[in-house]
Amino acid sequence: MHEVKLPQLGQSVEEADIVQWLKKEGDPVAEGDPICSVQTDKAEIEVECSASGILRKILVPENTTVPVLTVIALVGEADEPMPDLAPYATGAAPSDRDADPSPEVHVEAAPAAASTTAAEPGRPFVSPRARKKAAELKICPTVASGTGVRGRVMEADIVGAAALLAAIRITPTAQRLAALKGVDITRVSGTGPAGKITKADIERAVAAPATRAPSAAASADKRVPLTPMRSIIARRMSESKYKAPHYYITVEVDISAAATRFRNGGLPFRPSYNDIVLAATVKALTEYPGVNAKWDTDAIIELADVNLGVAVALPTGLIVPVIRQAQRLDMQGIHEAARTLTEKARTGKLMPDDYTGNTFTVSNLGVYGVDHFTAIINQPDSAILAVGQIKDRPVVIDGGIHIRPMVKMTLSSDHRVIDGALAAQFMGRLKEILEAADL
Amino acid sequence: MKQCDVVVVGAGPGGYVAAIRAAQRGAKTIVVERRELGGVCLNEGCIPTKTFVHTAELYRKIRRASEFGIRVDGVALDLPGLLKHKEKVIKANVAGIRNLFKSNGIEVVAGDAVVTAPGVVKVDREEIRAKAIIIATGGAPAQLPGLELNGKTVIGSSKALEMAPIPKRIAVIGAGAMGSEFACIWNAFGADITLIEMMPTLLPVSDEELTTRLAEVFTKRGIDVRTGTKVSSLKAGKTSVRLDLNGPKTETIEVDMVLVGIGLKCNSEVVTQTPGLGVNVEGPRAGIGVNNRLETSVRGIYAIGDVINKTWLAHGASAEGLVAAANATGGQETIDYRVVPACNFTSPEVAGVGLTEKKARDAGINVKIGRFRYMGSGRAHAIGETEGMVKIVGDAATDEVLGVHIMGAEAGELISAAAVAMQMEATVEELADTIQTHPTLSETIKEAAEDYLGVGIHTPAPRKK
Repeated sequence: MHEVKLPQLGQSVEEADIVQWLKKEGDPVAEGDPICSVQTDKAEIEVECSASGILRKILVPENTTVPVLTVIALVGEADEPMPDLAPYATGAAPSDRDADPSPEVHVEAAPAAASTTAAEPGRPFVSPRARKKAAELKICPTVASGTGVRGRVMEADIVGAAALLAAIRITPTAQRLAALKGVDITRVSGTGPAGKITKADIERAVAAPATRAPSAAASADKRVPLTPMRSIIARRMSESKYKAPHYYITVEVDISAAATRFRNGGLPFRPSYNDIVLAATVKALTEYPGVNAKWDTDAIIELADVNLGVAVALPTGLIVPVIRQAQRLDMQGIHEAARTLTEKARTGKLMPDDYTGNTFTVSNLGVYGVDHFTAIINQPDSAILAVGQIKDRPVVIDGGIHIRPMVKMTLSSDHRVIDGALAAQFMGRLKEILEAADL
Repeated sequence: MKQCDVVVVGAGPGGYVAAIRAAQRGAKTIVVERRELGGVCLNEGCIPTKTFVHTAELYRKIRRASEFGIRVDGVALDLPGLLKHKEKVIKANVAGIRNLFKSNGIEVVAGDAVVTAPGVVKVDREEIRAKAIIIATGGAPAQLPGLELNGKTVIGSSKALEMAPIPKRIAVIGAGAMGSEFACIWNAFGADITLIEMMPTLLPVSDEELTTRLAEVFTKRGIDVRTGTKVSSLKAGKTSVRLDLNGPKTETIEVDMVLVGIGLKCNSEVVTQTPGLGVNVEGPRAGIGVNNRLETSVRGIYAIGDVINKTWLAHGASAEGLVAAANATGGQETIDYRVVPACNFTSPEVAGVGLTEKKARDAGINVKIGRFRYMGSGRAHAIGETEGMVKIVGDAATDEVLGVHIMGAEAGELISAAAVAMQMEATVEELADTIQTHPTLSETIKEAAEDYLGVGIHTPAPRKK
């Protein structure tokens, strides 16, 4: 009998929820068939079957969290005798046991199996890690809006919620009342001085669901339910804009030299303008490690590798695949990595390691005819480069007016990590590299 | 004819505040006043009675001076001196308002005003046209059948402030703020006081637990307290008055003077004497009806203060004045009465803010109480004022501070901390967690909050069984 294990899903993923079994016991399966979908703290992923035969036994029920490499199913011949199932964990993940809710946490009195059963109707499922984190931060886990599958509350949701909660102005009485009534104060708009949430606001929030008239018919507004990707974008972007003090520096770059050198044939590949910008960015980053850095509360970590995020627009949202160790690649390597990752992103084939671990991100909206824009930092990065379209513009060179292909690039920086002078030097160097085609 | 943006009728604590706020907001403002600036509050209410209260307290203290290590001989009241002091205080404050009006460019028109049409106020023959009118004409004692004032043996509060000498035997009908305050003043000055109240407790709008203790203090000081008692008849002679009292003790008493401290009416004639104006008045006191923006049933006519029969408090009128002035000059504000502190300047003082225990229970709230007695305060002992108590009324579900009630020295000052806490929607925990200066009476609020939470440091622990 072949054991199907929950695969290693990425560097930092230790466990995952089994969301749904895509095959039933008794179904024939082939190696490579999607057998179940799982939710990690980062994404929802389909697990492929690692053998062919008949799915004989599902060992982990849906809505259960198990560590990676747990045996989740058995595949064998139809008439093969079943082995002793006792050694296989069929219930809660080990991590569940040490997540016993401590008394100060507002979780429903949770019997040991709470996390292994389906969430109560109307109550979002809270992952064990999220539960533990909530206990640590002393917040009610149900106030976090879950970004996991079917609104599961994940650990990151709790961290995000805690940050949001800390930023909300609310009177002590309103806070107590909200906790008592289970009101998510992040969804309450305050009417007190400077938008402070008052007791009356909470009372209105409590009363609102009951009094909301069925107005859907009369209204032409369209209610679009959040996809998990949309929820993640929403949470990550607002977290970044809230936590990181953004500021912006724009330079205008004459791209003619680079265009002449790299795009007029003579190379075994034809780089896109974006490839050229990416390669120049990587080079500048290696010279300015202070920009390829992350904030770590009591320190700034200058990262050894340049893991370059490249924002890719999808019909459902946006994803940022990462070119790992880009400093080791030449322009051709970057060109190929970017092409592969973009292709994977557009076809939904990215693996978790393909879109995590970024240290700096480039977003290019030139193809949409945008001259210039500012981007929100893709944390944990400390900066993001926003690249506009290349456009022939008149420029003054040696007292004469010349038409040159120009591009405007704007760096958004986290001022906690990068001061203005550093950002200016970095952008100056990036401009210099591009204008000299020094790659 | 005069023309302006806002005309305010009445320059009491509602009207003058409204006028200044309207002027601050850029409105050309006219105030009409038939008597002195400052209204009843400043001329024959709050302020002058406080000069009396202060003198009475000081007199009481001086007579106790030996307790504090001072020998004082030949202490004597000088009533003409007190009246002089009172006049000085009033003059200073009236002058203050006049200067404020001047600096804000507010014109004062003297005379009796009548609102003749929306936007039109007539003062004698002169017409003032304004975009908005704010009525702040106040209230007055009502003449009650059987209790008609004669200005000599049966008097109201304004006469009480001119009284010299003080008669020996005085009955006070009505133990509201005014009646109780005069009872204390005259008791300190040496008169025999009978304090008659129809309701079962003194200061009927205050917290019962405190006013029950207050009655004990009054009795100890020699005031004959008759709660739950009606005056069934009053026969006023030239030098004395006979009263038939009907209550727990039914008897006839004879006194030299009666102070009538009950019966109020709203000065709403300013709008009711114009037929068809359409400003609604309500109830037996004829209070002008307003919405929470303080606008009457006629657009552009606002009303504030005693004339709307709401708080009967000077600071209530001022708060309303600010809202009305904003709304009369294009603003959008509403009045909120949740946190309106009030103090009765009796001896000792009784102050409160928010709901009393009874009101909270009647509202169906699961109430929790915290208490602390002045007896446990070092400062209270040092100043010889150990008679007092702080009581916190909280919502057991959220620990929201619903009300704070204080009887004791400086209660009127202490209540401000509670008002700030309530305005911020604080819970009892914030009151308990706030560090207070030692040794002050303010510590009693923290102690009462700790008692509420069951962790009072200076509250004896419950006996272990």
